[in-house]
Amino acid sequence: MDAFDGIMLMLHCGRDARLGRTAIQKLVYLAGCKIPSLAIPPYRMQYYGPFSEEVGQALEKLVSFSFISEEKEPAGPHEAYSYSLTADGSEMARRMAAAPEYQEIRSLMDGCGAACGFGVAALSYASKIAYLTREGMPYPEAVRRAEDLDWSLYPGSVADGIRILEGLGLADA
Amino acid sequence: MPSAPLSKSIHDPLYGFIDLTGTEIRVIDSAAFRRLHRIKQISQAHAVYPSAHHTRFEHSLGVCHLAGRVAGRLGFDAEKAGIVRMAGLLHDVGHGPFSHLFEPVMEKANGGPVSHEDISKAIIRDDPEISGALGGMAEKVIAVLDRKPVPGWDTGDSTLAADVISGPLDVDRMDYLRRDSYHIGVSYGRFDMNQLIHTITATGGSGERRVCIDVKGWGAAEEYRLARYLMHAQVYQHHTIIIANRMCLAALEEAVDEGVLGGDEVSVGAPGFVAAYGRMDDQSIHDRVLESGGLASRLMERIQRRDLLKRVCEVYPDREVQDPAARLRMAKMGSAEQKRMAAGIAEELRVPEHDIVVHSSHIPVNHSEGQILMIIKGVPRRLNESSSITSNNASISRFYVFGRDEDRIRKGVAGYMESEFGLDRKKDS
Repeated sequence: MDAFDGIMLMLHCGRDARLGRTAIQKLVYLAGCKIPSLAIPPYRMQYYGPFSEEVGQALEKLVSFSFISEEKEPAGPHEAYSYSLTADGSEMARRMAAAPEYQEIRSLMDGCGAACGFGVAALSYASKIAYLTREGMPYPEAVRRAEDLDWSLYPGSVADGIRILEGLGLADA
Repeated sequence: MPSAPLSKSIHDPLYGFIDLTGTEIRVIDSAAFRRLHRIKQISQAHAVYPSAHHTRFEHSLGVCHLAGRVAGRLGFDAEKAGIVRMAGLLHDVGHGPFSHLFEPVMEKANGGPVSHEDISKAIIRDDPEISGALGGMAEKVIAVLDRKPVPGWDTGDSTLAADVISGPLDVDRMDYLRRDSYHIGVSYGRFDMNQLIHTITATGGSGERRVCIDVKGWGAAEEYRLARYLMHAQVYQHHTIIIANRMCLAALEEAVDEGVLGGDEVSVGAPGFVAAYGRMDDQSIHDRVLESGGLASRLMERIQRRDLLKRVCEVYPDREVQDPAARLRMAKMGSAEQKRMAAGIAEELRVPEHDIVVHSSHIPVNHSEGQILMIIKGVPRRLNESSSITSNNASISRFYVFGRDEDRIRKGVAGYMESEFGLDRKKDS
């Protein structure tokens, strides 16, 4: 199972969530941390957290190949895109529901939905913390790495991120 | 305008005169930089556009010039503007023969991805002429190219400088769209660059600052976006240029297997790498492969004679592939899978493996790496979300099989596509 499948299953499990590009980026990153058999492409660290061009391209291709539809909608003073499965996308997601990763993705979507309603800021913090704590990076090194990336880790936001990770069983990752 | 005293002006067909400082001239006069004179900007595009012989050299000068103009608009002081100009000048110094076609060759030779940007950084650090000219500037230039914090700069200036060279509205694209368009004689890549630069500004606070445009540049930004799309659709992803590039790549990869290319010149990290890499250019590698006498040589000779494979099958996946599982397989197909599929078709049709090429093409309507930001009523907004022309984010996809222009091949490929993807192409064959 790869990022294409992961994105479709996320949209299938969170069908009422109106997920945007940034949320999908962070959810795929968290799914990669949680599900070892999910082959996700490399991520690089940006100001807004982990970002993968390949995941962005996978999303574009899924739209281009008519598995996902893209909608533009007002979001405060801005407009934002949200993504949902087409009939063909739903059909492919249903076919993948027997895969062992499906339950893991459902649990990730349920956990993130309950913890933050798929809020982009909270998902961004959760994925930043997941990155900083990966492979037991020592605390001083994690702080240095965050400073290098100009990540301002406000205590309240860190707590929100940790709460999401705890819910996903990733707090000790 | 350059910050340090002017040393020389060089004539450029797009910008008139480009003024250069003494340090910039020293870099330009280095052997590693002058090599860019011998690397074509768009590799095999001359297969379709015979005048596409312009090089990475003039493009690099153009990027340096535009980087200085944009840095001036953004209010960088003289020292910082000089760093941004130098990053523009050196951003492509790591390109190998045949430009982007050499990156898969380096990946094959090194067992992992090696981008021309990685090699640029190695050259900036290790080439004695360039590092000698740059002195203490070198690490700052590398930081800008690497999108890392520039030593001694605040974060906002670091991210802004990186955005000038490589971002949704960067000077690299601004130059190559217009320059490629100028040299090949098409108008698709034109846009109102002066208006675009005049309206460039910065958004963001002390943390991250990004290049964006004022609403007065809306029309120019739409033109730029359209130029990028049209150049991809009409030039960079023209089917004949695609197959000329793919055949050249096959020749180069074969040359690695045959030992025609190898050793220090393609081994990143080898002690003599920078010097050996710097001796390679389009013509020297073309001639070396051509004279090597093996399969690589025969492939290169076919390109030279323009004996190119033809489109024997072209598919619009979103409209033509009805079975969603088959369409998803097509969407996911990377270069390794494309090669496997080509080998399978070749075996079935009993033709040499290099006589079949499978290619999946994606023409971006927008920028997957980020969106152009525009300030409307004081608020930064993504251009595509406010566009009155199109807000579509999807790429446009095509799937090609190239082969010999023979009835037997067309029919055989049609049969393969029917059995693998449920496509009824017999009427086209």
